[in-house]
Amino acid sequence: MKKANLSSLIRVAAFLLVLALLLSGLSWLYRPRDNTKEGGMDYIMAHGYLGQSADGIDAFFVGSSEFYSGISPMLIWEESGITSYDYAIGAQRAYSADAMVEKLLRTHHPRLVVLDGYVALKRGDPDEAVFSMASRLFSILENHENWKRFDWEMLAAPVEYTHREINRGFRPDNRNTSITYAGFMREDDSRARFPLMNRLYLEHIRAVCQREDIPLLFIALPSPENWDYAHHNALQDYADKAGIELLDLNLMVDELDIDPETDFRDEGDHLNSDGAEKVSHYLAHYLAQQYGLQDHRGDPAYDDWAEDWAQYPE
Amino acid sequence: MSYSQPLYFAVFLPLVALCYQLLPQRHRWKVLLAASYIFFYATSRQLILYLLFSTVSVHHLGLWLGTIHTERSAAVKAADRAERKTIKAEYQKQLRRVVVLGILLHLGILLVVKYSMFFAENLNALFHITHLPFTLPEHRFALPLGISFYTMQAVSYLVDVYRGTVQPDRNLPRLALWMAFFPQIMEGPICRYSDTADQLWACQSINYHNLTFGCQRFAWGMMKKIVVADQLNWPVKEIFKNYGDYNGAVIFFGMIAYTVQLYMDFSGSLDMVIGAGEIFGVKLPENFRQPFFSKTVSEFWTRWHITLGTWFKDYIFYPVSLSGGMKTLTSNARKKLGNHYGPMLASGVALLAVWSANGLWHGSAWNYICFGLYHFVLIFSGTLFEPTFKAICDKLHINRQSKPWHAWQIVRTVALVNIGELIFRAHGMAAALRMLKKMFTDFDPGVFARGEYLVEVSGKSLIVCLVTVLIVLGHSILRERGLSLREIVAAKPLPVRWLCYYLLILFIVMFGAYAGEYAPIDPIYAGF
Repeated sequence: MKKANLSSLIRVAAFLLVLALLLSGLSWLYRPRDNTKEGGMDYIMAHGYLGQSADGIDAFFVGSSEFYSGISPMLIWEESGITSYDYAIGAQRAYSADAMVEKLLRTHHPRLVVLDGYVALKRGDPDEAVFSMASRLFSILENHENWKRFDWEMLAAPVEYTHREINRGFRPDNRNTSITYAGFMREDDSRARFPLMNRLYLEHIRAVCQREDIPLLFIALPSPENWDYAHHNALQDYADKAGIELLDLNLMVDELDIDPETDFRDEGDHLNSDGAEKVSHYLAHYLAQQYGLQDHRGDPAYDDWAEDWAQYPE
Repeated sequence: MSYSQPLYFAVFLPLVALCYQLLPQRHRWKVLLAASYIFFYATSRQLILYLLFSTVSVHHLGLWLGTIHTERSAAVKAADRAERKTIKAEYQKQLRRVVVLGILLHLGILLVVKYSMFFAENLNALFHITHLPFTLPEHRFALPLGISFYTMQAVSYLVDVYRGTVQPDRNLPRLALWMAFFPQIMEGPICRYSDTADQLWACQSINYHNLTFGCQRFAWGMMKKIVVADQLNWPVKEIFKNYGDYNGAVIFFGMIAYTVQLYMDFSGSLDMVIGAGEIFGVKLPENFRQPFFSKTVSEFWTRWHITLGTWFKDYIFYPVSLSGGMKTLTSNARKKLGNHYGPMLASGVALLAVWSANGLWHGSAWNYICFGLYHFVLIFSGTLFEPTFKAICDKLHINRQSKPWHAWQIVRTVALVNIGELIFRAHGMAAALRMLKKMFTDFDPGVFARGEYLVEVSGKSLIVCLVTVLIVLGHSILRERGLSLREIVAAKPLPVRWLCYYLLILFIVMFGAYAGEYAPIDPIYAGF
């Protein structure tokens, strides 16, 4: 009986091993060939950074729609010559932030990684977390729809990222919803829930960045809909323990001159273009002072930034 | 957590199977019971109290019935011959009171939680129209997972104990496991106590055969669900929501697509359920038997959602049609209407009760009730007009046993079923009628050739759906002939077997409607 059980176990293990090989093979075959939709890439705006040189981006803003609505890398460039990118997707959670940090570090060498405070505390879906983990092992799970996009020529093509996003991942939105937020950051001692799953993923991000000697920074953008002092306290506690800086711009709305009547696009959830402009101007100086990020204006290696700035919509 | 989500099939189910297998046999039921309650809690949180209440009350009511049975047997044995009939009748009244209490209790909970809003809305509308000064509170209750399914199981258990066909279970954990077994709590099948309780409690070791066959069945179901059903979700949703924008031919496509979606979703989910049960050595009852090969609507309902149909047959149709009142009605009607039409009155009443319940069971909306009544009319009129129909066919020398005639019957049944599913899916009866009208008055199949169908549908995805439907059809033909594809493949050499299994898995991975632009879609029947 025991021999039969062992034989069965071996067969199951062998089956799974061959399956893993097949999935790896398919993952390689259907990997995106370019950072465009035709090239098999999703989230084109977020993945525009792949079209830029490995050392060409100083800071990555890895986050949710808060980041791609509220931070304009081109305005930061214009103000300080620092290069950055909004590597941000809507409804990002801690597990996808972890995957995205690992992904960007495979091709790029930034001097700073900025994490979204909203994402750090936002409860994720365990099912999505499992899927995210599986996709990191077998990217075919994420890219399987490429069977519709790829012909034989494409399957034989090498990987070459050609697309460059002028906005560097930023998605300007001029809509405006007037709100009032008197007292939304009234100081108290309460703490928002900090999901254990998020802590684990943040710890992994910290370990990965430490290995590469890249400092981390948390930024919480003004968002009265999503943020309050309890959230600030919860994230500050973690940041202090982990030795990560937290820049909570919700505490600085007056200093930034954020106007609740004109600077939000959707009832205090996301900043609009006007709000993003104010935040970006502040960050331009903050990043230069706090992290010593260099001014690359005039450097021929960064001519693409100057070119794209010329085309950047006003 | 639904069956086709990675958290279930890649984490929860394997973990449960591992813990189950590692424990000694006498403790394995604890793993299954704990897993079932965790599964329930993960979806319904504090609504688990409904399940707990149902389980405990069914347990005690069953014991109560058992006590009355025991007392009756003893009293009858001790009594004189002349008194036995009276004693039996007296105890029968007691039994009836307890079982009615149990049925009213459980159905009452279901009625309040699922239907009170519907009844209140409609009664308030009636009060408003008739200018009566009443207003009922309209409160929407949160529905616990699988309430329609486990309530039916609870009622079946009580009735079976009442009838004496099942002994009351003194073992509360065993009864609790039977009520809550996680693979079937969400969408059935609706199990009888005598079918599965002992199997579950036996906690057989997971063996290679059960594991592999169970996984194969699971993967097969997943293919149907996520390659076809979830792929069709978007166009179906769009056409049914905005039918006013679409040509009758597009609505016709939507109707067919919905029937396919519903079958693939439900039967696919049940394949996953039965496959998961098989892993643990539990043979759950089949719920589908190639329904689209049916020659009549009546036959269709013996092949579709089989456990629901047999439940209605055993617990509504037969009790109603064989009741004293119906027997008297039948006897009187035979004298006036003859042997064919006479009994039809009673069976018609019973059938009406079944189909009203069937419609309502699916949901609290008029189109569900109309769906039930639609099938009642089809089935009842089929039986009612059978002599007339036979006479016409005989006169026209139509051989009703011939293959062309059977083919015509199948096509006719499929058409009638599709119309029923359109009523079922539509956003209300008015919408259903308008959609049906458009199919006849505004039908232009040329819109597909001209690319004017408006619905954003990937042609490649539709081809994959079609290929999968053809694969399932081929499998259904094999099943109809009593053959098992799994057994056929299992008899092949290892490289051939593994090739088939890898093709199935990779087919799902490549062509499934998941990730990216696809949002996870809950199983359709989990909403009932």
